[in-house]
Amino acid sequence: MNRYKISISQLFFMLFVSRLVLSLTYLVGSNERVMGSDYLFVVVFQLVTNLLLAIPAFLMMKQYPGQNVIEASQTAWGKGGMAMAVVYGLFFLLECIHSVGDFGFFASTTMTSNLSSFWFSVLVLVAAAYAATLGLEALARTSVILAVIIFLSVLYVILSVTPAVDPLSMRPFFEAKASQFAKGIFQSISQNPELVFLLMLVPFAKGKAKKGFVVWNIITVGSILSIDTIGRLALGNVYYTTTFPFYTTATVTATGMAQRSDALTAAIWAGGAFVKVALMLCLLALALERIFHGKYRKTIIWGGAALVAVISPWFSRNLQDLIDMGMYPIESGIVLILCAVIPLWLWAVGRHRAKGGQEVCENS
Amino acid sequence: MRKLVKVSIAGALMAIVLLCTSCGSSPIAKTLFVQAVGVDQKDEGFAVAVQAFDPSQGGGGEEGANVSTTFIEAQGETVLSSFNNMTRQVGRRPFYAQNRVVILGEDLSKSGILSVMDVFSRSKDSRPMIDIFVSHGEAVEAVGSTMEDSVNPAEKMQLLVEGGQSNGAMPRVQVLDVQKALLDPYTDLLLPAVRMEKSQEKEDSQDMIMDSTALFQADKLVDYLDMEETRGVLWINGQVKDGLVSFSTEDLGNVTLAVEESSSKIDVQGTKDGPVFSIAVTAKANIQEINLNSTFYLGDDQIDKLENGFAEKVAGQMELAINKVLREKQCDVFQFARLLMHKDTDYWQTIQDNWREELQDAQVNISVQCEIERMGKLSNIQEEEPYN
Repeated sequence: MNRYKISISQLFFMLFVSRLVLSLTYLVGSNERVMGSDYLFVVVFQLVTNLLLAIPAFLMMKQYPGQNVIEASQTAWGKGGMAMAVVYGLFFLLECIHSVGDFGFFASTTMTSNLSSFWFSVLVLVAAAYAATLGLEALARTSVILAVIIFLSVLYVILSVTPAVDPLSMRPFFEAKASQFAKGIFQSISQNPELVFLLMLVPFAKGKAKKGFVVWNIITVGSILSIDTIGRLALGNVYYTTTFPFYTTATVTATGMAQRSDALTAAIWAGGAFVKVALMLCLLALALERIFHGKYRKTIIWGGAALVAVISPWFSRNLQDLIDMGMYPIESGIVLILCAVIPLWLWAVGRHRAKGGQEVCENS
Repeated sequence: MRKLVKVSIAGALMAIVLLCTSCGSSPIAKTLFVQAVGVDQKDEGFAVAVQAFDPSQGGGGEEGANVSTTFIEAQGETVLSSFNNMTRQVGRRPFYAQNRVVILGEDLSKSGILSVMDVFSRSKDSRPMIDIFVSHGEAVEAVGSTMEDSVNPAEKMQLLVEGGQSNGAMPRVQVLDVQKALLDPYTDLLLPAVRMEKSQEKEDSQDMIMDSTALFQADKLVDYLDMEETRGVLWINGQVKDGLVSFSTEDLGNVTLAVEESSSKIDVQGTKDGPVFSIAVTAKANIQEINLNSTFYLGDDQIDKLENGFAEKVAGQMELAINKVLREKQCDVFQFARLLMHKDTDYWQTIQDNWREELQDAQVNISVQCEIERMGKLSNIQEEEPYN
C-alpha cells in the first residue's frame, strides 16, 4: 500500500512553520538574559545540534524502512512497543498544551486584555482539531502557503526595523562563560521538538528526507538567527526585559505611512500557531491510534483538543513559575530521549537482531 | 450528520470571532483619543494632563465634522491612578494608542524618570515610537497652554521636534530610546526641552519654544544644553543630516552653508594615560548665502577658507558639547563608553567601575573635513560694459 501522503518539501514547510511560530511567543530565559549577545552563537550551534540529533532518527528509519518510531517499536518489542505509543502521544499532548498555553498567554496579554486565555485556546483548538481531522495532506498544503507568508513577514520586519538598528546597543560578544554556553546549547534542544515530529512523519513523505532536513535546518536556523539579531540590534537591553521580544520588535516597524505592524504580524503568526497545534493533534492521533488498531482517530483528536483546552489556561497562568522551575531543561531532556536515545536504541536492537539472524544463517 | 457537524463548528467559530472581540466595549463616542500626555511630580504623587480628541463634541455640517480637542488634568498617588482619576472626571475611557507626545515636567525629571517610564513601557496601547520631551517648568502647563491656537496642538508639538531634527538642530527621542538608555548603565540621555513663552501675536496666549535639550545622568536631569552645545552633540553622533552652518570670515563677511550630508566616525583606544577618542566628521555643504556689502569673487582660496571656516565652527560646537557633557557633568550621550566596551573590551574592564571619572579626563581629538559641492553664484561683480 502506498502510504505516501505528502511530499518531503511539504513536510519540511510544516516543520518550518512549527519551529518559527515559537519565536513569536518566545520568552527570554534567565540563561539567555545573562549570556546577552553570546546567545546568538547558541542559535548558530543549533545547526550542529539538530544535525547530530537527527542522525539516530535517520539510522532508525534506515533500519526499519517505511516505519515511524511507533511502528518500529512494535517491530522491535512487540506488544511492549505500545508503551512507546503512549510515551510519544503524551509528548505530543504536552507540546500541544505548551503551544496553546503560550499562544493563549500572548494573545490575552498583548493583543487584548478583555478576553481570557481560555477562549483563545478554545478558538485555536476548535479550528486546529477540525483541520487535524481532515488529515495530513490538507495541513501540509496550508503550511506551504503560511510558511511563505511568515517568511515574508519576518523579512518585512527585519527590513523596516533596519533604520532603527544601533550595533552599539548590543552587548559585546565573548563575555559568557563556557558553562553558560553549554547550558544554552542544552536548553535550546527544547526549542526543537520538530526533531521528534520527524520520527513520526518521514515515512509518510515522499522524497529525499536527508536533503530536505539539511535545507530545513539551514533556513530555519538562519531565520531564527535573523529574528534574534535584529531584535537585539533594534531594542538593545529592552530585548531582555520585554515579554515577547519579536512582537516588541514588530512594534518598532515603520515604512512610510505604515507603522507598527505588530498586529498584522501577530495575525499571520496566529495562523502559524493554528498549523502547529493541528500538526500536534495529528501526531497525537497517529501515535495513539496504534493502540486502538487504527480506530478512533477523530475521537482522539477531539478528546486531545478538549484536554488541551482544559489544561492550557493553567499552563498560561503558571508559565513564569514553570520556567523558573526548570521547564526548559526538562523539556530538553525529554526531546533528547525521544529524538535520539529511543531511536538509537531501536536501531541497536534492530541491528543486533539483523546480525544475530545473519549468524544463524551462516551457522546453519 | 457530517454536514451538521461542519455547520455547527463553523457557527461556533463565527460566534466566537464575532462576540469575543476587543472593540465591543468601547464605542467611539465613549472614547477619548489621547494626543499628548504631560506628567509632573507633586508632593502627594503625580499630576497628569492630556490633550484628547473628544468625538462626542464633534458634529456634522456643511463644512464637515468639527472635532474638539479637550484638556483634562488629574492627580493621583501613581501615574496610572492619575490617569484613572481622569477617567472618573470625564466618564470616558482614554485611548492611548494615538498618543503623539509625552512631556515630562522639570521637577519630575530632576527626581528621576525611571518609575514614570514604566507605565509607558507596560501599557499595550502605548507605542514605543512616541516623541518625548522635557518641559522647563510644569508639563501640565505645557500641555494645557497650547490649546487655543490649533485644531491639533499635539501635532504642532510633534512638528517642533520633526522640524528640529530635519534642521539638524534637535535630537528626536522616543519612548523606546529612553527605555533603552535607562536599561543601559553606560549610556545617558539627551531629550529635547520645551519652554513656554508669551505669544507676540495673541494676548493671554503662550507659544511653545524648543531651543534647548535636557541632559540626564542615569534617569535624573542634571542640566540643559543650549543650541550650540546641542548641535555639537548631534555632530558627534552623526545626526546632522541637514541644516545650516553660519560663520563669519574676513573676506566674505557672514556666510551660511547648508549641510547636504555628514557622517561621524569615532575611534577609541585605551592607553595607560586614559582613553583616547578620535572623532572625525566629514560633511558636504553648499553655499547658501554670502552676506557682504562689497564685491567678491569665489576663487579656490576663498573656497578653502569657507571650508576651513565651516570646520572651525563645527569643531567649536563639538568642543562645547564635550566640555559641558563629558567634562563638566560626567555624562555620556555620545556612546563613548559602549564604543570602548566593544572595541577595547580588555581596557574597558579595567575602568568599568569608575568609567564616568575615566571618561571625564579622556583625551578627545576632533577633526572636521568639509567639502563644498555647489557654490551657486561665483561672484557679485558686474562685468557687463555700460551701454554707450
